[in-house]
Amino acid sequence: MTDRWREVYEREYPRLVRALLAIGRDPAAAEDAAQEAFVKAHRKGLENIEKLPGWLLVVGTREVFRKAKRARREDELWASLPPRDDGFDTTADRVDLLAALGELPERQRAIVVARYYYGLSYDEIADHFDIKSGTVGATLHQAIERLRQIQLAGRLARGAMR
Amino acid sequence: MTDERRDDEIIGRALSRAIETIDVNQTPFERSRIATAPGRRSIFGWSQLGFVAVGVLLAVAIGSWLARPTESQPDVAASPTVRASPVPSVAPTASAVVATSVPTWVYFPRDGLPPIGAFVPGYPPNSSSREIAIDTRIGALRRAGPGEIPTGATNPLTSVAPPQSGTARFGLSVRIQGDLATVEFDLSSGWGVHGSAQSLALLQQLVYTITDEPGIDRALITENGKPNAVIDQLVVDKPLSREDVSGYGRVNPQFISEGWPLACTIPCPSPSTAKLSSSFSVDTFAPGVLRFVIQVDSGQPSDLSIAPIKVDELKSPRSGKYALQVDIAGTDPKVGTEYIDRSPLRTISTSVRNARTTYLLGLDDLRPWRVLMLKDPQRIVIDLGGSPSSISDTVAVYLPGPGYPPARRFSVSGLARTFEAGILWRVRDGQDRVVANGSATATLGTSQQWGTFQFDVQIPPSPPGTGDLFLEVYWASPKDGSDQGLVRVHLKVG
Repeated sequence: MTDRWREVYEREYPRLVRALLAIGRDPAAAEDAAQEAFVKAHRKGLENIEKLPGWLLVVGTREVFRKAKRARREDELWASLPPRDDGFDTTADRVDLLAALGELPERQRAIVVARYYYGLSYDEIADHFDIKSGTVGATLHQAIERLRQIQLAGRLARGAMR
Repeated sequence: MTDERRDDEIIGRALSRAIETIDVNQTPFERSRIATAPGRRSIFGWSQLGFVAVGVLLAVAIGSWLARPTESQPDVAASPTVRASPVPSVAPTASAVVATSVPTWVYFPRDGLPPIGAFVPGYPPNSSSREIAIDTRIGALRRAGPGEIPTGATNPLTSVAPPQSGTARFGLSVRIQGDLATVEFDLSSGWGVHGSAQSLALLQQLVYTITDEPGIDRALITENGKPNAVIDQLVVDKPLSREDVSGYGRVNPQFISEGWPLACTIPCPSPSTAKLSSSFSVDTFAPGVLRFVIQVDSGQPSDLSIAPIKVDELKSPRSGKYALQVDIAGTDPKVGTEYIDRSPLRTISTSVRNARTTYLLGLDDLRPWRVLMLKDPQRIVIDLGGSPSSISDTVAVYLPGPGYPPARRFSVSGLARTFEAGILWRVRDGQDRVVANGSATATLGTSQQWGTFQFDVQIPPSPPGTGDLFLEVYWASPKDGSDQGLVRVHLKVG
């Protein structure tokens, strides 16, 4: 049993902390919430949880929201990796994207992370977050549009500085 | 899929990658709450509780691997030579790599410019040993693929075969004494690079990457049990700092202290609390030039000082080796530390105290810098670096850069602080014959600040010789007319 939990933990924990960090922007709160999510999963028992990754994300997200402090923290987490494809991966773009994510309402943040980082389907998101499936698509589109605007503003600001 | 949906997916994927690059503290399972929760003693005994306390403390710090606590590092005298043994059967799967890798800062050489840093995936060692950390960092550099190498840079280390492929570390002997790391490569088939340019490029990236370890300022590279290394024809037999291999030669740090206003018309406005804002750019004005601009949005700053300082890497492990400290009367509302990570700029820390603003620009190394003042709006401009062959302590040619293929007529621009603002220039051909020359005047003469210059060069039709041209910009000594501050920019024609 321990081995099973170890395997689950080692597979899911880093991803969960990153997701919660992206959603809540507070490193300590993200770790705390991720640990709490695992404790709850442990109490409930693996056999009683369907689709564990999404379950952990939702429970962890609730914990983050509950504990989140409003004070925004400048942290080195928002540094990022080198360029990639899509024309969206310069360091500045990535920093912008993460910062822009932080500008979204909490619920939108969680849904965006669930869809694009966890790869959950609309139905799974609807199920986990207890919203209508049709609302998921609209919320996502609205959130991405907002991300695009914020990121564009960042690019323009940088361009103007040069 | 509609275009709109596709665009959304692109941003979504970019966001996903951005999240994946967040550096997180990965509390091991043994220290997790489920393994240590009361009632779980069947998994771990009470003796684990001590670890729990430590784990909880550790859990607070994110990015702790990059900013590894140094208190626990081995004492220098007791520091053993670590023969970093290969990690047993890592053979990571793609998902395992994602789960365990952390962004690791390494350096890639560029033609005619100092190396440029970038994050690549690295494998955190289960050790606080600095020796193993250096080995791990070089392993990460060795594995960096084309997609991870910044534009315009190369990775000559890939020509050096790793002793054991598929391992997390490179397999080096690393010894640390004070600020010196001695790194011995065990090479089965040589360094694999040819020519002085490639050899120097490899040496540059190794010295920069090794000395990214906090507290390490010099690297000695050796091979196969010998006291030195011979990279093709390049003999490396002494410890080297970043400044030894950056290409700038010896840097004489310039200290600036100025009264303000510097260029006002009489009567000058009386000093009042100024409102400031700052911005930066890298590689925009000239290859390798970092430009930091402080703009005076309102009011009049009364004074300004600029000086380089050594970074305390144990306190600020991601702020580079040196910082340029700019202290100015006035307030900038944007305080805090911004992580930039665009070589040579690592961080910008802005703080305000007693109506004075201090900017600390964390830098990869100590390299030459220049200060100029611009008007409308008032700006203090600090330019760092540039192409080493294009700058001296009194002349900096920004355009054209080395390797630039000019037309018969082209413009030359840059900065200078020369005697009576005089500038001389000439163009030589491949046979060292002067094919064109002239003079120009900069906006300022000898001063702590630099002036700007710009002039046009006309090359006569069909110059003798073929191929390359060399643009030389300098000034004449008032004592004996000798060339001063000469820079020589290698231009390619046709």
